[in-house]
Amino acid sequence: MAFDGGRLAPGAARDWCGTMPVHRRLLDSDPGYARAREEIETFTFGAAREEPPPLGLVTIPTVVHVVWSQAAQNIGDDQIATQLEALNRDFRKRNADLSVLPPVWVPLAADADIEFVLADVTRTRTDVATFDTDDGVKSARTGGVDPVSTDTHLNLWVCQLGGGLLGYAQFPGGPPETDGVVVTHTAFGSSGTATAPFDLGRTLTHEVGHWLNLRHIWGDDGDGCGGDDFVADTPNQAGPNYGRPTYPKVSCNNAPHGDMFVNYMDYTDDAAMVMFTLGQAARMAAALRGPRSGLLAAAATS
Amino acid sequence: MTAPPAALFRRWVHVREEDAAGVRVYRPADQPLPPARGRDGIEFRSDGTFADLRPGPTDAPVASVGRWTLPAAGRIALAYPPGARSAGAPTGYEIVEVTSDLLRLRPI
Repeated sequence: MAFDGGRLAPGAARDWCGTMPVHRRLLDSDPGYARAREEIETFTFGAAREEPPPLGLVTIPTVVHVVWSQAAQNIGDDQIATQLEALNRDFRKRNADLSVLPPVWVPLAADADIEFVLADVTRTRTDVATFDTDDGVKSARTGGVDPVSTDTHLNLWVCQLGGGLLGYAQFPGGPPETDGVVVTHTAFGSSGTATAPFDLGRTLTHEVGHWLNLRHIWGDDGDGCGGDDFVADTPNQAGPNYGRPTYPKVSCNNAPHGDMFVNYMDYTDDAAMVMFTLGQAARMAAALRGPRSGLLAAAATS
Repeated sequence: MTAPPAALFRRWVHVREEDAAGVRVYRPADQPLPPARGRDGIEFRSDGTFADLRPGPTDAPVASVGRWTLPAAGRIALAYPPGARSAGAPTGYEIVEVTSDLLRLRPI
């Protein structure tokens, strides 16, 4: 199945209201984004039905942009290294805490066959005390730093986010100039300023899941039972789970096993989320075949 | 009908770990807050509107904007446009306490 869309023209959605959130803002303000998201979902649905052969290991070059106003926010190379190690463990199902899985979900836990290699680190001093979700950190014009080659690289911005926010992402199909993931420095990696209970690097695992087109496991419908994450092997679930729930945690008639709160795409603490499912891995592979195929092309020629 | 306290009119973030006895605790969004995965919030505006803020599909907060009214002293009622109310979002609160750095609301 060919993929022939799902990308905004560069600069197509640059003049946004500074307080509206990313995905909703793009859906509301730019018809091109809504169309791109529809095309991506159509492609992803088809790819899941065709069950194409595995891609094999995909390695994604990753650029980390450290943006700081106070010295502590200028995190060290060691903290960045612990984050990349955690990300690779999680995406390759090499995380030791997989042992906490209730047995019923062990067969569903997936090796996504994706790895991340550090391509560069940029460091930018800013006058901005805390960044909001208006993408200010992603542009030099607004006190941040511009991304690098978003077609072929994952861009990560590490800064001080406001409002108690841990991080946020951009789905495939959004503007290239803001493509990537933002994480607050105290939830990045597992050394330096990383602080419990968000000090195992799982904020980035969750956000990169979004960047590869994964939805929240509860379906983004508040606390209702009508939302869908477009993945067949995750149970229907009411709202997000927090903290460290005890199995089974039942909602939406999903007994006996209940919510899959151990999934990276729930809202539990770092120590409680330990797996992607096979269906989620297939959905991420579809993102690599389709809207993020530039990453595959770059990997093939490197 | 008396006007709500002026201190109400700002953006508040729900610090759910401080909730107690059915009362929700909110702190100002522009002050340092303990990080958490998925904080909701609410912004009251003096023009009669409010924004219910929920984590969106990529974790940035998404706003549902509606109108508030005061049905009784110490109470605030919230009306959403059709389809804009998240499942489980309250349609009114008792204002238990509001200061320059704390808001306590009991869903009704």
